[in-house]
Amino acid sequence: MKPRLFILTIVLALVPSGPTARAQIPAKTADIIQEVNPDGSVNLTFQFAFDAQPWGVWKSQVGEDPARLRGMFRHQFAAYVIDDFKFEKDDLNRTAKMTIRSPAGPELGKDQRFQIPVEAWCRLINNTGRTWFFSGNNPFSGDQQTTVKIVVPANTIDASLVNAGTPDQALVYAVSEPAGKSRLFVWSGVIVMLLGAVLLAAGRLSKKGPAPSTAAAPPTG
Amino acid sequence: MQKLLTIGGAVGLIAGGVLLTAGLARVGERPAKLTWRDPEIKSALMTLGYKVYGNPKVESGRHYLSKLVFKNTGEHPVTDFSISYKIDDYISWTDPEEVHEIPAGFTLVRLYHPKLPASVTKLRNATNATFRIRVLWKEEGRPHEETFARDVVLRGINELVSSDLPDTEARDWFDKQNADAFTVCMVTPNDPVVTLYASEITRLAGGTVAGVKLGAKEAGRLCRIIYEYMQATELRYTGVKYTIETVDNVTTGVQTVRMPRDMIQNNEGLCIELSILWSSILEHLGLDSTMVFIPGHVFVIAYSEAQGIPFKDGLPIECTAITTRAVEDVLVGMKIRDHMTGAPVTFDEAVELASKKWEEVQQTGVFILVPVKSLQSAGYVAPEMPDVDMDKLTETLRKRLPHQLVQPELNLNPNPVALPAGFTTWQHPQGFVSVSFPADFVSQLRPGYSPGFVLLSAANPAIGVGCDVMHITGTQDPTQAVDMVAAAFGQMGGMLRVTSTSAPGTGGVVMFEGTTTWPNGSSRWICLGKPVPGGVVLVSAGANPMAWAAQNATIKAILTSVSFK
Repeated sequence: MKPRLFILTIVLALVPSGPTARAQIPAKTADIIQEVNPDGSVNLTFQFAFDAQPWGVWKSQVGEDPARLRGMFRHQFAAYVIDDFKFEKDDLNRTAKMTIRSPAGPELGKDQRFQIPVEAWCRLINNTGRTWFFSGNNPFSGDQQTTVKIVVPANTIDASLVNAGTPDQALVYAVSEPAGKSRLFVWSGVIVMLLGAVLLAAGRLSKKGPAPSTAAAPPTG
Repeated sequence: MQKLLTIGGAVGLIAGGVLLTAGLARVGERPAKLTWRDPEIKSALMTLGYKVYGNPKVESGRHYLSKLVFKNTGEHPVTDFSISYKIDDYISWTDPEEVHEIPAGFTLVRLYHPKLPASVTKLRNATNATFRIRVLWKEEGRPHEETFARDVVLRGINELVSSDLPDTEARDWFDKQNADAFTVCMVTPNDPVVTLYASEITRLAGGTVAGVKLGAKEAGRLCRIIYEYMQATELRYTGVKYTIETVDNVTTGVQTVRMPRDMIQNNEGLCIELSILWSSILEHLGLDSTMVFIPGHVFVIAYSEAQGIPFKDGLPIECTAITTRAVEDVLVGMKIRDHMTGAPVTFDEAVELASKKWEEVQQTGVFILVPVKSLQSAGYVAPEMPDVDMDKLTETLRKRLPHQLVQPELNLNPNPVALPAGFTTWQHPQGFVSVSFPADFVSQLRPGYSPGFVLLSAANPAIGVGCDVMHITGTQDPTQAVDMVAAAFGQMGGMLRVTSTSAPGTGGVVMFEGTTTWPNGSSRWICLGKPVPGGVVLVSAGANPMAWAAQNATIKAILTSVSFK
């Protein structure tokens, strides 16, 4: 099985311990940024804002205990690879921010194109260059207002949204091969060879130049 | 100059050729190289959840058997990658899962969700099996192969594990109960054994209710009938069977939990087994349930979102209360009972007990909810089970709760039969019928409350048996008369259901069987109806379902004494 990228389902992590939950603690809003790197790794940032009462409950259950939160993430999303987990909270604004890095992000298809699944309830708002903006209300988390920003790699080509509005909605793209040393060698070789050829041609041309004047010929007698 | 240009050109061509060759030969780049992290392989699988492990969609695929993380650390692609799996004696090598090319620097994750055969449910005890993984790939065109092998424990079909979290990660009770969702795999509403058991219950409830729109009142009545049936058939609560086991780095509680079918056959169960049985029956009858896990215990909350009874308005039920000794001290401690009496715990007491526990744990937050239907939808489904001898089981259930009283010998001769000792006789004011009943029965008639058509209502509440005589005017049809009684009871908050009606016998006497449920209890009865001038006389004898078997002889004696003139 190929694990799907944990883009939006992870929002459910706000519900402690998955489907056998103690209590649902939906955040008021969620902002998610997913930045995909050329090697397929991904940096994810989740920022949640709570109302006063849920904030207190959430903090008492997991918010004051980042190790537990990370443990729950690892357990609930065991199918994925989570290498880094950082957590910040702001009591004044009742916001929590989690940053995660995973070396395995988009799914690689048989056609060698990459695919980032997008939840069906997320609607495309805008697309500017590498950045795609989505928004929607998450039905699995109390219709929480959610915005999603996906940044595809710099070497992306042909990015497009497929199956929009369906459970198979996904952002699909290909990447151009990065310029490696070998390519540098090839182009350098070609250029130097061309230069050599020019010089050689110039040498030849100078050899075939105008014949010396007879007036200038040395006397024969 | 010419020479210089020629030499320069020649050097340029040679140097360019060298560079081009080096470029085409990719000199200086790291070749393709596949590396991997230590494979994550689960140390044990619960065979009761074999369908869960085989379904990659359950909880984002987290119930995998193995997770392998590969990375191409080279600067050239790894090609022709494929991976396949095998579990000796259970699964032969799977079709290779192929990836044509792993780009440079790219990480690939592969999870394995084993499609175990249904035969694993025949395992009664933990069994070791060897799990193998084979990986093939090419680096710069050269083929490579790697295999991994680990022993995996396949647990017995009745072994329910409470956690799969490594000891290094587990901190508290919640962590040690993180596998509670698997309990839902034991909920088997469609098992023929459960179906038969439920049909015995619905017979008490006055017929089939599955699929019928239920209100809160009817749902409560149904739960009461289930509870009273369990008590009447002497289903017993037994103590906890729990061991702590360690496999690799996971230490977990392992409980031997029987499937509902085994419980039904053995007529006893643990709190978790009783909760599973309740959930199975409720689902079969069209109700939802959530199991509430608290430290050392489980109880059930019955509700139905689809029928307008949300979880918050659900009915908590202490399933173990069917055995008085199991809960009576708690009943006294919670002031639900004044003192220990040893008397059977009523359904209302069982609900009150569970409601108080539910309120308590909501304050502490130390509980885990296991909503059966939503977890089933998420993929926690029951295993396939072998056939059982249904005829034998039917006979067993019938023996536990005699459904048919021996047909009373109707005394259609006006001469009274010889009365059992200690019986007294009552005569209809107009002489249409006489009936005898134990002399210690006391009148239950309450002026201004009992309907006017009830002429006699006598009972012994201590043993839960009684008899009634009613005179219904305006019809000559006993069936219509019973319907009129049902309508009158319905207006008073009761519910009367007829489960069987005989054909009219000598003198037009019709025999009915049925149940009546009031907010404070239910009864099962047999009624004889006969047309009389200006109406129908109904004589009934019955008992609460719990006392039905024990009072069989008394009920039969009362009905045998009925003498229609």
